[in-house]
Amino acid sequence: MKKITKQTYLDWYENMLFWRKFEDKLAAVYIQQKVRGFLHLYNGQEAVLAGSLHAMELGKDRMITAYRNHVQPIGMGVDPKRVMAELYGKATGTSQGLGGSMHIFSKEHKFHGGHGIVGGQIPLGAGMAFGDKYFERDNVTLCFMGDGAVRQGSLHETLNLATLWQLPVVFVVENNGYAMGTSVARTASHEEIWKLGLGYDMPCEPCDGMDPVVVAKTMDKAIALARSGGGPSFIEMKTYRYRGHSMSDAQHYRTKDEVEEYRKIDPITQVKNVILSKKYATQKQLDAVDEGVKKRVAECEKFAETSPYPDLNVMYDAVYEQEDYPFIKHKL
Amino acid sequence: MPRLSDTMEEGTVAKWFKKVGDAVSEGDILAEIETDKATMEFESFNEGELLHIGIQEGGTAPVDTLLAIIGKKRGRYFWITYFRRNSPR
Repeated sequence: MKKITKQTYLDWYENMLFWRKFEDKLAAVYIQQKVRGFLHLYNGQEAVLAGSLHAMELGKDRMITAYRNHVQPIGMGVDPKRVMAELYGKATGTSQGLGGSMHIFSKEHKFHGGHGIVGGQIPLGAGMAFGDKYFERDNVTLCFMGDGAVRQGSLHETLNLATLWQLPVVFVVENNGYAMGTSVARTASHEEIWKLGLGYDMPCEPCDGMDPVVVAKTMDKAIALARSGGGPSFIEMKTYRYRGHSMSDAQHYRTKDEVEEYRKIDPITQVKNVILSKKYATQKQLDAVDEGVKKRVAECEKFAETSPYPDLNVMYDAVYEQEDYPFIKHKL
Repeated sequence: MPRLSDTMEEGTVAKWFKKVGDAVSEGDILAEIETDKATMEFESFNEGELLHIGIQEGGTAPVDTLLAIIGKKRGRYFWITYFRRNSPR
């Protein structure tokens, strides 16, 4: 694994803070009706992404996830302005404004969505890994899912075949405690989700999803195994989200004290504490980073605000290949 | 009146946690608002002073109605609502 250095910590701090502020901004513009539809935010789970990115080979390895998917593409190198524009439904967005919040894609950066169907991305992730194995490429696919998705049949069918075919894929469960508003305890006979891998003879383990260092080490092991032909792994990241499942979640299923408890092990605070205690940077320098992050988020907002909406005929062109269709006029 | 759910058309202010003149920080809960789905807490995305309350407790109004003004006196105002729908069509 790449060494975890002073620069790693500084990068983690800046990136995770940017992701969080980016999501906060989305919440703010959502209530102003600038972003429509649904909106699922990542606040609190940042360490899972930061640690995973450190263990990945960017430009080579793939990522696919569910609908809590705004910051992953940013981490993989997609211009955050284009992600913000996608949420605004603007032509400059990653999918020309046609995908919206749940469907961020960048084939170029090997970020394969952005999927709204719970558990739908699991077989897709295995399929991409199958493609890489079939064509003898040594790319690894990271397939993320939530704790609700693991109760879908698609997971179990996929794990079976992924082990049988020894696919180069790492299945990562981001267990944030709640499938929408239902806690894991209410829907499962045991709460150790990682044990689901045992039934398929797949290497599996739980992992502290609030600490990027632990995440990076665990993911590195799994990715190395997949890359060397050792097959898939199944990892449960124990993490937490501070905001609701989506913007319309009143969060009556948990107490404020519970949220505050998790804020004590907040990934950004943890990284910040290391930076300060090891004197990697001063508080003043970190304040400057905070200011820079705020400015970059504001630039994303401005870019999205000022970008044009897509032309109406783009909707047609994205669905139909032929220039005209008997029932629908091409130029709307 | 903020849109706090994807299907919300109007909202009722159940409770104000701040009164005019109070200082407001980012993330502070301003009010409880009843939507079509549930009673939600509405947090501030701006900081400053609560200068004006547009909808009193118990009041119902459609999304986008002026709910409150936060800002600095004689400074820049942050309006917690928008009069115009930001939609192209």
